[in-house]
Amino acid sequence: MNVTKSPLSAALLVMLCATMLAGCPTPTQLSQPTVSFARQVSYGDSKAVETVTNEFGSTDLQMITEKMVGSLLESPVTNGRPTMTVAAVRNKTSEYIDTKSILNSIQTQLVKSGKVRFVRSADEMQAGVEELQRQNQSGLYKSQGRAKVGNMTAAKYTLEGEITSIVKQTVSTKDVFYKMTLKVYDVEDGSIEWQDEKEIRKTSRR
Amino acid sequence: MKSLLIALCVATSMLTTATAMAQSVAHAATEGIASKLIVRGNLGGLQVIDLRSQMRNDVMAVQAEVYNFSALDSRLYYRFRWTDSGGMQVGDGEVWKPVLFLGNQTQYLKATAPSPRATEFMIEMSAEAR
Repeated sequence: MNVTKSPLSAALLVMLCATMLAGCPTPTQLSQPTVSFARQVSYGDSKAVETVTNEFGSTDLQMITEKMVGSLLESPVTNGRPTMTVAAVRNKTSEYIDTKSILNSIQTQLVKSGKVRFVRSADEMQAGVEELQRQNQSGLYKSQGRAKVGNMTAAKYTLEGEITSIVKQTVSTKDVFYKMTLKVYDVEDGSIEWQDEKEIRKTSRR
Repeated sequence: MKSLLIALCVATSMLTTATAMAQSVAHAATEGIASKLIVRGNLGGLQVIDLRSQMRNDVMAVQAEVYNFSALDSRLYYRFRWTDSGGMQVGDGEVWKPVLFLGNQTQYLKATAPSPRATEFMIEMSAEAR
């Protein structure tokens, strides 16, 4: 076999050897504190921009949360640490979205800000009522320190909203436009005290 | 012939990228603005030309104005880092947010502190040619 030895092929050979050597484990290489030796699974940055598909994803959830929380904290509606509760976010898109998760994230950030107090929502009430009944009706507890019935704080405001989408598709392109609207209602008079929107456009091409 | 065309396309693409990188400008208009930025690599033609903050309802609101000096489109990824007066991080850290800049376009980047405890901020930025 006639092999032409040009300087370029020699350089390629050196680079190949160097790459192979770099991949080999050396005695000084330390093992990592992991259980699995499989290389298919890896942890990534939970705050990174996710563009695996153009369906609703983690980045959309996080961007909506940041926008809504920031806007709400800037608003005078949070003056005086008012009590709030979460109602529902209606999903009017064509895909499944865990809207409870969106509200949970918003609630978490608002609680951590210290500017709002949240009280039990309708969904969470049953567990609270059962605990009150256990303390007051089971006969197991001494009266001192027992949570009394009738002392719950009512919410001044409720958080509710909806998420919609517009999808346009051709053979090669898919465009999805999400719009999340969130409102704060005054429970007593039903007026809207704050409202904001977050729009997200995602386009994918084949 | 086909491979020659592909090679030509690749070379053109590399030349375009190189041209875009060559057009990179300082990432901040002033030293004061630069002190508030954490930039990964260079931002190509993007530059923060204005940065202002104000207190709104006890929380800090920040607005950065970014201009694309290049005629080429660019995608910026950014997030704000919030710290308290002792330099400790407030909150869990923001998500990276993508913003598309058309050639010679100006856009605002806005953020609100996650809590009244957040009194200092930095903007982390990273850009790629679109």
